[in-house]
Amino acid sequence: MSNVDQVLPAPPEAIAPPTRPERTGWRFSWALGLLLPVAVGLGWELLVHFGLVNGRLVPPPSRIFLALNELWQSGELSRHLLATSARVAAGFAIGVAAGTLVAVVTGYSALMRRLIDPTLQGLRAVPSIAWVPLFILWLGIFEESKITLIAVGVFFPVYLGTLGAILSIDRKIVEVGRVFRLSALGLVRRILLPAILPAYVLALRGGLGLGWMFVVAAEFMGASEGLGYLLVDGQQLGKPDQIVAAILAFAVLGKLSDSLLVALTAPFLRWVDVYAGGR
Amino acid sequence: MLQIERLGKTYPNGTVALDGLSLSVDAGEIVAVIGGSGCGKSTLLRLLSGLDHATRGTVGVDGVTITEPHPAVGIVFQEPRLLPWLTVAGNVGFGLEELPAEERERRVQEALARVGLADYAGRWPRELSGGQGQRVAIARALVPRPAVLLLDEPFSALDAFTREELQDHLLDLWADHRPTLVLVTHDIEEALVLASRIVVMRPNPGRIADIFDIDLPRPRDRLSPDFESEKRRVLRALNATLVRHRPRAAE
Repeated sequence: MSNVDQVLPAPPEAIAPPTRPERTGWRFSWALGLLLPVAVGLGWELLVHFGLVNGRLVPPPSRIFLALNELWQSGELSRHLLATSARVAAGFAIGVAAGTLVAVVTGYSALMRRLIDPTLQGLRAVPSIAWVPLFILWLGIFEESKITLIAVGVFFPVYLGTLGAILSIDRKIVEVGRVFRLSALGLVRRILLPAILPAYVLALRGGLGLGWMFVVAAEFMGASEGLGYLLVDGQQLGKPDQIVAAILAFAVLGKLSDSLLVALTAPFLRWVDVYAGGR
Repeated sequence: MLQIERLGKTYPNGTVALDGLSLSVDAGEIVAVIGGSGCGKSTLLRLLSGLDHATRGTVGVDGVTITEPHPAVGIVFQEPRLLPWLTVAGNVGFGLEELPAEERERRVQEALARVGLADYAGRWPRELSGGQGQRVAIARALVPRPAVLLLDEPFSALDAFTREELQDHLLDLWADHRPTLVLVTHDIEEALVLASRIVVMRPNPGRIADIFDIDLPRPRDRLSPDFESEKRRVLRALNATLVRHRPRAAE
């Protein structure tokens, strides 16, 4: 997780710790990261423009944006974006619900953990694509099998992260709850839930990332719409610009959804006390 | 009144941590329990708080037998154990969930003012120093007004200056409602500054070795000759519990 620090907005000035290292002096240092891709893109564009290479298999940026624009104008792009996003959303929701539930059960009971966890660890080792034929046999080639595959991908990071968080809750903090005679429900609500929240958010982000990975596998199974369909279509019809356009769309969607998740959970994590990384 | 009768605790591995300890503490009294490591003083406190169950004997507070945490008994641990996701005010008010918000707010503000942290209500625990954290922990334990407050080496992790400051401060707080204080410590001076009675414990199995009444006038001067002589008296008793268990060098 390279951007854990996004979970932690800077505290208000009044309470900021006094010894925060200064950011790099130069105001535009963030733009440094753009230098490489822009230079490469521009260089390639010029090479193709002056006919030094033909750019048929590796389209220059202008052709990619043209393809994107075409897809957008025709309404195709939003249709594919929506289809893929809807699948990820459904698979993510199911995977998170199942992963959380199983983690709570196995985290709460050592017996259940010994019973269930080894099997899950075994299943976790199965490569995702290996499920595809089975899911198609069981669930058909339509949405059910796709969403199931995505849910399986989301399930494991969420399960592992949540279980790990539950098992590492500090006994001393739980004792504070006991001293104040919290009910079982009160203990969960006022101690256990807030205690696992930071790790849980990380688990959700990991799950979401895998959701985007698995949706491609799912859409390779044969879809009539979705970004994965655009990829396959672009390959079969020899349209590399369309493939790159779909890849760009994935990048934007993945980053957007992750940022959304971080923004939604940030208000609950303002208290976290961690090494914030080399800022 | 705190009544401890023939209290015993044997851990599942067979260790007898506490064996037949009886002690009666008057309401409003301050008792310090002192002893080397492994003498069962922390076990004693955990039994008094109801966090652990006694194997034998009973603990009673004003006639109520304590077998699990009870509102009449508060505890301050060695470390503050503040909940990092609650502000200072949220931590102090943690045990007041049932009260209406206004009343809770008022009591929390009052308690924070009393421990000198009125301006810290909105801060996070991570922003406090060790001493401040322990003050918040004391405020959290006192705010439900327990009849008995247990303290488990509460100042042992602090530097010497902060420790003395907090010892005096604890006495101020105690004077407000005069709860019974049972303080476990390994610091003789701390026991002498605070306690009206010092219970010296010995290990294997944990039991009472000696009890001293401390009649020094308050506030107590850590440098007075009387303080020194009392210190020597307690130290001698404490040493007697330790020497016997020092392993002999191979001959």
